[in-house]
Amino acid sequence: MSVLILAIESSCDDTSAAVVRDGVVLSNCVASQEAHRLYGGVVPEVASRAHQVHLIPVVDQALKEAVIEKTALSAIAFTRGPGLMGSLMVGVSFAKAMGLALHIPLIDVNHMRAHILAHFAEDPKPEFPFLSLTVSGGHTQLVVVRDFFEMTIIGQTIDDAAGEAFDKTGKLLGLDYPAGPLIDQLAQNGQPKFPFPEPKIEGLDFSFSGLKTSILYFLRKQIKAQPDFIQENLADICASVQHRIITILLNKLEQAVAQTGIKRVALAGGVSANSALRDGLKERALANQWEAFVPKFAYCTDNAAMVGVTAYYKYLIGQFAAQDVAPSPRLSMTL
Amino acid sequence: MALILSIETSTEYCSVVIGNQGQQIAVAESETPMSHATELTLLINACCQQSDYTLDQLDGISVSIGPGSFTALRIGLSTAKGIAYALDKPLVAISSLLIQANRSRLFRQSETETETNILYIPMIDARRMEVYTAYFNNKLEVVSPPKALILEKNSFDPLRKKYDKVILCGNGAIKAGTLYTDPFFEYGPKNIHANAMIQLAEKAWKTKQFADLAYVEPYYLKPPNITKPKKIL
Repeated sequence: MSVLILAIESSCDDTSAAVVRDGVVLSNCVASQEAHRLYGGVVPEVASRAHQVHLIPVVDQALKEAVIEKTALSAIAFTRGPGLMGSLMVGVSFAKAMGLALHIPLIDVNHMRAHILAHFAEDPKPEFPFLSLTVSGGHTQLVVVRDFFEMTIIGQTIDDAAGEAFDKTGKLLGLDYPAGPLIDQLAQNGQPKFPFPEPKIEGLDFSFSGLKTSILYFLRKQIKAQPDFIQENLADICASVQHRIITILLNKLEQAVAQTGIKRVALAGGVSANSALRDGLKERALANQWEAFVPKFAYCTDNAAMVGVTAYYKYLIGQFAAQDVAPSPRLSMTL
Repeated sequence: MALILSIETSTEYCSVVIGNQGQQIAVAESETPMSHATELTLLINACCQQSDYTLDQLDGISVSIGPGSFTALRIGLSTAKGIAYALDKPLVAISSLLIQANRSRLFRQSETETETNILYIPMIDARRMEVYTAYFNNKLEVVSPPKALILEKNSFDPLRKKYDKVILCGNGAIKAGTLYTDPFFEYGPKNIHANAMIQLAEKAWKTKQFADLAYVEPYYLKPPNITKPKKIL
């Protein structure tokens, strides 16, 4: 008998559903919310409202694409946290009700672990142990992954996440939200000629708030001398900011490899879609003889496939959630 | 003639009933405030066990659609959608204000038949002195549609000419108690409960007033409260 899991992800502003059979992704559907562009960031109440109307169409599409009947499902998986409370609430409540109605078990999934385990959706899969650099709009973590369920954070941001640094820079430059992909695109035609400082943080932790401030002051100063400075130098500014963020990330990763002796490294999270980060990792891997794993684009941003894959491994060891499970916006990595 | 599960989550306590042909056959309610996320499906399960019916035997699901607490409404509707979608059951959405008015009417049934000139004013707390409210006559027809109202001493004075009495009910009526004390005002039940949904759900089911399962949203009554930053650089 194969294990068929319907997975639901609604932790932030994307509503996603996936069907996974024996750890293999049959379908992975995502509905993104355009409404947040107007506000320059995710508005939690707007996101919660949108999930409510996106969820059934997305779940329905995922089941249709996989050609799976609801009654054939073995379990329902969902992101329990971390994420936005209102957003999580919609997906978790819906998933629990489906589980109850279909008399099948629930599997709660940690969103940050799921980003890492997305590497197990397809070959080549990394062998354990490996180091994951998980970078998104809400997180920046260096994680030692010893097993599907044994993960240790050895470094993380002490203030902003790397993705936040992209988005906040975008806001200063007048770019639409989310700014990450736009900065990536604009940077292709620019040179990293403006120097921004690398924060001096002890150990393997990160900091991006100082960088954000230095960008702000830099822009203010330049605009005073030349009002259209941003328009004239947009590509170079983007290239410079991106270059700095990525060197901060990769320098810490290199330090983590040296410290742990683990030379198998993987990228995870939304920012792993950034072309400069992907290329940068490959370059350093080549230079240092690391084995590098870069996720498929579909598995970088928030998606339910990674939730379904993670749930499959939990299913195999019988780790189910009870019906009293509730969203956990600040769910820690150890759970 | 229908077997319907009704879910009410518009305020700090949630409740669930199963009605069969308009009669209550199972009931369960939360005892801890704001415990919808953990308790709701357990309450539904408890109702199934009490009634000896399983969810797949239901003819439909009914849900209190709001107005009320945004998060609480989302939990109720997402849960109702999950069951209805999983088992291909029709969904009935009922106004929380109508449920509250009906609850008040059920409480004073015998009087209601003789009084024609009364108004039910259900109120759902919307923080500070604000409530969500609508006016219903004694046949539960809408006299004034739902709105958000900041309660003031004279808020209901225009009604005095036309009506003999108004019945204030719902959790918003708790804070109304100090403002409206003369005999024109009568107070009904302050809590809302799924048991006042049974007949409303049965009626809606019979007349096939079903919600669009995928796209129905809670009746928020208010847009999201968003402030845009003015200065960027």
